[in-house]
Amino acid sequence: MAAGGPASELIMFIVAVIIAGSVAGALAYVTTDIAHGMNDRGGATLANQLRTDFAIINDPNNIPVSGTGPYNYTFYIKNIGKEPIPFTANAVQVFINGGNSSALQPYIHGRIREGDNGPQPVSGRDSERYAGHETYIRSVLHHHGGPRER
Amino acid sequence: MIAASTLYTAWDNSYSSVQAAREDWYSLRLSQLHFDVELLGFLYNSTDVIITFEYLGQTISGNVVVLHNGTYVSSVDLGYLIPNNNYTITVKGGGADESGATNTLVLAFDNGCIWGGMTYYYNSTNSVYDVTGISTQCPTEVS
Repeated sequence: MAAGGPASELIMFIVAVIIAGSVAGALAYVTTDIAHGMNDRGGATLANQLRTDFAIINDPNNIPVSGTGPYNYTFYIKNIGKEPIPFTANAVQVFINGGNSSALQPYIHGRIREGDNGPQPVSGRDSERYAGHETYIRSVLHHHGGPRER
Repeated sequence: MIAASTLYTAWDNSYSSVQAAREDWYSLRLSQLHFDVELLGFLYNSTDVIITFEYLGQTISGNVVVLHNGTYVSSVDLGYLIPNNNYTITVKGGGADESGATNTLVLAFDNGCIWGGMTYYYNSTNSVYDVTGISTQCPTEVS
């Protein structure tokens, strides 16, 4: 009994150290994970969404149109945010009168940098010209997980 | 203590980053809200139209996009647009149309606002260009 006392204490000490280490490691892992999550969700994603913006800068009364049907309209998009915008067929959609008429080719330009000198033309295709009627366009940008519309 | 310190540092970084982005967002919206431009001069020669305007909005960077008859013509870098300062833009190819046909000019600014619907045509009776229909508009969010 006298020899078993120190041995059992040693075993209990080692077990306690292992448990404490595991708890500390788990806590450190969870803390780091939460910290990264805060940075990603709050710092990066939310800040990027606030800094991402664009505008359609066409002459409202004079949208360039070509073709004899389907008609190709050209819309000029200007990056007015603080972040580059990926400018691909997957990133930008154009809706005319509610229909998805996006047809980016041949105007795929990669990324629009902040402060780019020129606007990026996007073409939208429609089968009809709505003579005498208002035509509504909507441009949707898919960026950093949150769509932005004009 | 270490865990609390790590979490606080992460929160503080995120908060600072979002606050800075929010400042940018407010600045953009305010520049749109206060956007104003006044036409001071409209000159023309055989090839170009020369526009002088006074900028009356908040200070913004000065990349101005020129659309002539709806089509992109050029971009002009005016540095920064300072309130109450005058600026001149030359629109290449905008002049010399003496047919009497209507021409339109639109200037798009770095905050997304456009100044335009500026319509001009050659008045052969008086041998001058008549300029009408100037307006401003800024982008609105669709929701």
